[in-house]
Amino acid sequence: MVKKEEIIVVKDLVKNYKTESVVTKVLKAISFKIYKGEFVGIMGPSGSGKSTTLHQLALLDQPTSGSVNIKGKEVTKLNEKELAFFRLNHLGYVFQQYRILPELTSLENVFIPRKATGENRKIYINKAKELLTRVGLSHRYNHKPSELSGGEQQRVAIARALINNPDILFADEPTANLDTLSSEQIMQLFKELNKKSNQTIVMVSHDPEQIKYFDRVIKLIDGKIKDEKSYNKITSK
Amino acid sequence: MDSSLLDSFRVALFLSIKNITYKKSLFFSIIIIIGLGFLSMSFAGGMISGLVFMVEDEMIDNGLGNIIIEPKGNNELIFGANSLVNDIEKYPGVIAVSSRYERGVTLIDKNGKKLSAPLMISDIKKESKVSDLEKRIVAGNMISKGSRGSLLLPSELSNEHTLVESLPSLEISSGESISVLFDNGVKKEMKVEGIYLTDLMLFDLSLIINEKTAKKIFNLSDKELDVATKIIIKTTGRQQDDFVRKLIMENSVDGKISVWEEKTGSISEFFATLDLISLMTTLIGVIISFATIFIVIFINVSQKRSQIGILQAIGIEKRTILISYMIQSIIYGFFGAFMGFLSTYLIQIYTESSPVKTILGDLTIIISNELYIAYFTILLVASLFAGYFASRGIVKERILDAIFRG
Repeated sequence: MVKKEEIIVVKDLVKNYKTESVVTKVLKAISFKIYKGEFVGIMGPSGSGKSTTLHQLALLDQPTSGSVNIKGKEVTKLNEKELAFFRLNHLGYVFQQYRILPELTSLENVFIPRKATGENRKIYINKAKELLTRVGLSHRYNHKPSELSGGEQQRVAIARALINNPDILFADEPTANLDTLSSEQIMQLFKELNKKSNQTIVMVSHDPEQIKYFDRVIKLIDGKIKDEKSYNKITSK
Repeated sequence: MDSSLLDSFRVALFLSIKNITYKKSLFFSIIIIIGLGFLSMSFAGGMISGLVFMVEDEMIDNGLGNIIIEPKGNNELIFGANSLVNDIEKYPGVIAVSSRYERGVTLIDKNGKKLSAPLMISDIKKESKVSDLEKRIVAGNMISKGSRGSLLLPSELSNEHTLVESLPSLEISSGESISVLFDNGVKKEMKVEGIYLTDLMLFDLSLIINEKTAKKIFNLSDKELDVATKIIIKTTGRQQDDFVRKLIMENSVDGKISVWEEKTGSISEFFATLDLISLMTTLIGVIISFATIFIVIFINVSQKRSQIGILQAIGIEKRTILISYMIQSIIYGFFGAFMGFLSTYLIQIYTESSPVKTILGDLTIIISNELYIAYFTILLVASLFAGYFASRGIVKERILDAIFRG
């Protein structure tokens, strides 16, 4: 058994959504840890709180209560500016529907987060090209999203998420809109990133077929962790 | 920790240019709308200014002149008028000078109908240079400097040419004779050589005779006729008026010296009303343009809600996104205002070369450089406000709301 350093520590995480008269409890005080280099799948039926959990970890939303500690930093206490800085420099995010900017080429979509760090133009362009080549899009640098297939757009989104060498890569059902072949290719790409670069990946998935790619699966049902199963090299303490 | 403002600006500029060049048709649509806003702000005001300018010009050309010298204090006459006219004619900025000696007459037509009118005695040659009198003859001919016993009748006194039927007039046409009773008691049959009609009824009141005729009727010597009740000066342009007035004053001319603006009387109140209407029209134009630009830019930014959310999700600061949309708005505002300026300016140039013919004269659009700058600035500020407020609202949203509900 290999012990790894904790990269995410979630404790008693609660997320409620309030409408005028109704409070919907989506996450009910869940706690778990994720370790550096892990490929973790968050699974569960619809409405179980998978995406909500991911949104809290990726700092796209504020939890109602509880704590999220990333790399030893309590991120729920960060202000807006600090959150933006943390997202830019430590996290990468891949959306279900690609969400790349239609007016930018593949290359521009990829380098924009790096450009925002104040990096030298030559460096960020080379890095973006390197990543696009890595995801198999060396021939698509100057293509706009409308000229790319769904699988290709998702690869651009993955390259964009990796441009600032994130500590954690989050993905919210990244293959949900893709055909079987493209899905397989994207999952292979994630696995390769995880294995070769020791990239920590936290992915929401509803597809049981994808369990084979994960080191560990956190299963949620009705806002609570039903179980955690390890499949590969890394286990929880 | 914080990326510098310069980095923010670089990213914002990059995103703005990409956004604008992505949909060129949208860019052109927006700048056309802003351009039309410029036109709506400036056009009506420009027309009214043109109308005021036209009426003022008519007043200058048809009777007032640019500068008027009148007797000072209790004096009724300016003495040594001819030498004064000859002197002032030599001043820089002066085109022509004419002296007028005004008295009173009573006209009696063939039916015995009587009408009193002012009489203007003038050197017809000089008078034709300071006013458009010669061009305004609508029937018959102009009297010459040397003719005797003939007169020019204002249109309002002739029933054939009066514009306002209800005003009293005489049954007389050009070429016919009329009995004139002068204020010295002399009664004389005189030929109506011509009838004149200006664009302003205000100046269609005086009966005009030349100095030669006046000399005989009033039995005056050259020296006795060397007087004036008014000396009218035509300058090379309105901008020269103050300069010429100053020159006249510096040369110790004995008289009350006024520029035409001080002599417009009740018309100046009418002009003030027009100016007010012009201001109100401009203000309404400003409000409409502001609202239009705000709505157009707001809709444009609202359509980018999802992208704004995505940019935040990948770590782009709110400040950068806000700057980006403000840059876009300024670019829209700048090109829109420039387009509006260009269209308005071209219309202005067109009306200058082909004025709109109106009953009062040739109408051109007049917009000063200061107003062009003001309209330009207003539209830029409106665009900036619109971009700021529209994007601020969306940037303030929860990231997930912006992404998934955008």
